[in-house]
Amino acid sequence: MRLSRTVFLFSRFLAQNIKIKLEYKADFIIMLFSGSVLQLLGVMFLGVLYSRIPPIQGWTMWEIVLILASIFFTEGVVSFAFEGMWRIVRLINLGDMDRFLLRPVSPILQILTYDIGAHGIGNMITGVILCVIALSRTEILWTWDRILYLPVLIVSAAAIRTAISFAANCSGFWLTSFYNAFPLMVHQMADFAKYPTTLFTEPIQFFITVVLPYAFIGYIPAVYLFHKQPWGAAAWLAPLVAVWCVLIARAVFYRGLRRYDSPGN
Amino acid sequence: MLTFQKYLRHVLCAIQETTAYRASYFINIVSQFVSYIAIFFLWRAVYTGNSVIGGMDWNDMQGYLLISLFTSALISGSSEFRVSRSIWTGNIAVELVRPVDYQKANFSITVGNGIAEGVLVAAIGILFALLIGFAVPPASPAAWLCFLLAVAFSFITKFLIVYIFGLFTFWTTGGMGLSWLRRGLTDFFSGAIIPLSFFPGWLKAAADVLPFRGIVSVPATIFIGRLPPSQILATFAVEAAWIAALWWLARLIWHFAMRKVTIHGG
Repeated sequence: MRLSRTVFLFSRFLAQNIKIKLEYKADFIIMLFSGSVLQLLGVMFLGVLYSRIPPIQGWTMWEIVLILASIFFTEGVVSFAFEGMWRIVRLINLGDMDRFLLRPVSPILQILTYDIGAHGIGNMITGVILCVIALSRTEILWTWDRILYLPVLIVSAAAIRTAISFAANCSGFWLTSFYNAFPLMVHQMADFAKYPTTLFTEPIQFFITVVLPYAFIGYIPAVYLFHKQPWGAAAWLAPLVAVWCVLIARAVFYRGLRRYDSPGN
Repeated sequence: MLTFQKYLRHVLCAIQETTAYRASYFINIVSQFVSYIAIFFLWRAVYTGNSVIGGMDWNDMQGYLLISLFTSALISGSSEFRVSRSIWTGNIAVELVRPVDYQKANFSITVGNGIAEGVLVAAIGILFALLIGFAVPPASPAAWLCFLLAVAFSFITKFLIVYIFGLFTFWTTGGMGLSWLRRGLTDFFSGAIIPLSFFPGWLKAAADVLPFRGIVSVPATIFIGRLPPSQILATFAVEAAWIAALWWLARLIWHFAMRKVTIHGG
């Protein structure tokens, strides 16, 4: 399928989803706020903690807030645009995947755009506000390569998160229970990216750099931006990591699809 | 007697249902540990270089985190969305027809899930405690008794809060946003992510009067022996009062919800 057609379909699906969401106004508004509330509580946690202690391993509070805020932002983009992947388990369990397979459009595109997360909007807004505040309280020596890196980071981080969560949701092809916590567990592992990776023991460091490369959405870019370590330029590997994750997620999906048989009669 | 058996049946069914899908059952529980591992390492880094923070040393903090994990895991995702899901799908219609009290039936099912998951959570928790070398549980039988009582209070309080937020789905249709709000409020004000003794004065004063602290802070501080015995009775009295208040509040909300309820294809 041509890229332009994919983009066209994507924008149409998105527009339809926004209309659906606006039908349930109370829910829409609550979703918008709930994402922000959770984030602000995360920042309050850091505030309370840092009021008692000196910087953790040389990281000040606002530096960590910047990592958090950038993760909130990409999380917002992902949940706004690709929330549909969180419906895979239900689609399989109820057999609704059938109609996606019958249409002449990539099933992956249809799944990703099956739903949108209104909370994503809240996440993006709070993420940006927090980023601005954090940037005003931290020192970054802006060089041209660092400025150039920002859009690269946003796209790669969103792709990494989407790919990992998508692949995790494909576990529904193997675990057929209606309530499957595995994707949520994988999603939660991004918590490790919110703090400096060096806090953790080596197996965990290896895990979040190599197995589930969440380190590339928060910690490693922050090391680079803040000039913390000489190896910071490794942050430029993020696009490669993103491509790798997307390829794996695709493979997992088609592998799972081979196992799929409609539960119907 | 017959009424009691009716609800006991709910408890037993919920245990069977929880353990029926073994892979999911196990993954549900392991997933509870994941975010705690991140928090655990964060605290460990915080405690290297600081021996006592907020009146707690590293050993206290480990015990605190273990109990925080345990009490948080007792009511998991499946209980969280039971009410909102049945409203969303319209299954609530079937449940309304049943000759049981909806609130009590829900509580019974949550107890069943809690037993099924609690056993495994406790087992993994003990394993984890041994792994990190934490070995200072409450000394006296009296302290254990208080702790278990506090866990019971914690369970009932959390159930009521989850249930009340679930009922709001009658007005909002979707349960996800509500559940996040609830989780954010509970985690913060119960002391699940940071002990209440770390809070600045005004925030602590707020947390002390809210019902949330019974969910994590009270059982955890009793477990590590940081709640003075003289205060335990008074704390339990406040918790019991909150439970009674929340129970009736839930009834009240239910009463209004029943005027509101619309069911697909009704």
